[in-house]
Amino acid sequence: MSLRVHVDRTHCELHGQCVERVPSVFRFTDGGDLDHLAEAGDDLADDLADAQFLCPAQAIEVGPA
Amino acid sequence: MTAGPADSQAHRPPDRVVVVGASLAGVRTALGLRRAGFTGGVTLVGAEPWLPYDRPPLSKQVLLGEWTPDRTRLASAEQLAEQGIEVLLGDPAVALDEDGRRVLLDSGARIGFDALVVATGAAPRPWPFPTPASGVHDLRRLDDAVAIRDAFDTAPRVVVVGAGFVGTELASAAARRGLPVTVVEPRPDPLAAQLGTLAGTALLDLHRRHGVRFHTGHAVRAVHGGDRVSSVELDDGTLLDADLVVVGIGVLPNTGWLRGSSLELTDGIRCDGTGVATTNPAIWAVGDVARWPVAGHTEPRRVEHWTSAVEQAGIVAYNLVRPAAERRVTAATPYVWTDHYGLKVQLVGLAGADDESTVLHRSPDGERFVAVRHAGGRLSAALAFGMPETLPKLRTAVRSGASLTEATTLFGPATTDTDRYVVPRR
Repeated sequence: MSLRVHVDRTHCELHGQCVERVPSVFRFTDGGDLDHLAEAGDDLADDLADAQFLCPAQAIEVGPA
Repeated sequence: MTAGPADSQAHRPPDRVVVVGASLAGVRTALGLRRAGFTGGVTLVGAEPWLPYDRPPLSKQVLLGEWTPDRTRLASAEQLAEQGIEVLLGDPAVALDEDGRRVLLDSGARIGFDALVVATGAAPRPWPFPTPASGVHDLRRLDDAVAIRDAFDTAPRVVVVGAGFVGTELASAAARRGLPVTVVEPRPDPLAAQLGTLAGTALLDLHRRHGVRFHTGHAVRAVHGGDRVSSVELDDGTLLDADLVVVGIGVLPNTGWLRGSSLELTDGIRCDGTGVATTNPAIWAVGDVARWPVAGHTEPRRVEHWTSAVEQAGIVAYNLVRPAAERRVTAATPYVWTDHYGLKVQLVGLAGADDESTVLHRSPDGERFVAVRHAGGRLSAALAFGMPETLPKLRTAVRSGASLTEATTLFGPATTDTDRYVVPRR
């Protein structure tokens, strides 16, 4: 089982709250763009829910893969 | 060994939690309670008539006309109903019966609670003098933003009173709409309190390049006009013609309804690091109305940041369903951002007013940079001026209490790729 992670790039404002909270899924590239894994393990469900809550742009979607 | 008397009493969560204040901190507390497994009653009380909405976009996307007001909504009626959250809107709390554990609402309703979460936020600091009937606005509520956005359509001459984040974001939106904008600020160094003189000056320069004029070091003496505002008079006699005046001179916590209670109310409700009020274990406070401990500062203080409201809501929801020994305390580094002409300024940490600023890294065109605030060789805060990708490093440095010497090694020499740090625009 795993989770699908999607960031709506028209909403993302690069606050980096998700990078801070779940660095194993979200990161900044050297060029300053947000990059993320498209899938994550179920064990990260709570962390990803936190990232969704912490996102000022409400840009993160998490659902079943 | 048998359990002692204290251990034999299993923790019993409250039966009914009442959250007063239906903005970000309030709704996130209510939703967070369900996420934390709370199955008791949750009531969310709001003074304003609208479902919970987000305030940062009011001075940004809503003013620019990029977002309809609906898009600021933080939760739908259906979502709140699904979560079993009772919502009472347009009915401000007017008094607290602490002994009887009841909140009195403006309508006369009395709402009983086992645990109360105060999330009543803050309201604009009142004007010290009379104003014309129309053309003068605060910018705090959804209807304020819509009124100002609509007023922009009439091509007004705009005067902004107060050069804080709200005032300067409003100036940015007005200038982008092609309107003539003048900002009045009694302090000689606008934004220095928030960003330090170095970054504050850089942000003012950005505004000036977009045509915004500043009158600093002068306070407003009077606002003239009959039914509609016509001009703003400064204390040096300067008269600024104005069709639209927007005031952003700070906010005061909404604690008037709690007067007479045991709560410590000096500039917000004093709480411990778990979010519980210092004088009553059944009362908690979150968001702009709350004064929590902040790392590196001896006294608890209000932090009017979006992320602080969210963090506090999460902590209180978690703690409300747990015994005291298992409660979490605040740990996050304060973070705030502000948007101007598509450029984002991001600040982590909480600097003292007199802390020095040092630039660590600058873009080749000189317009974007990373700076740290420091005192006694230790970082108190850091800011990214149009360089969001530097934030993780800055957060780590500020959180770990890095020295200025350590911080200077964070970034290599400036890049020669001029496009690299351009902030994406919508």
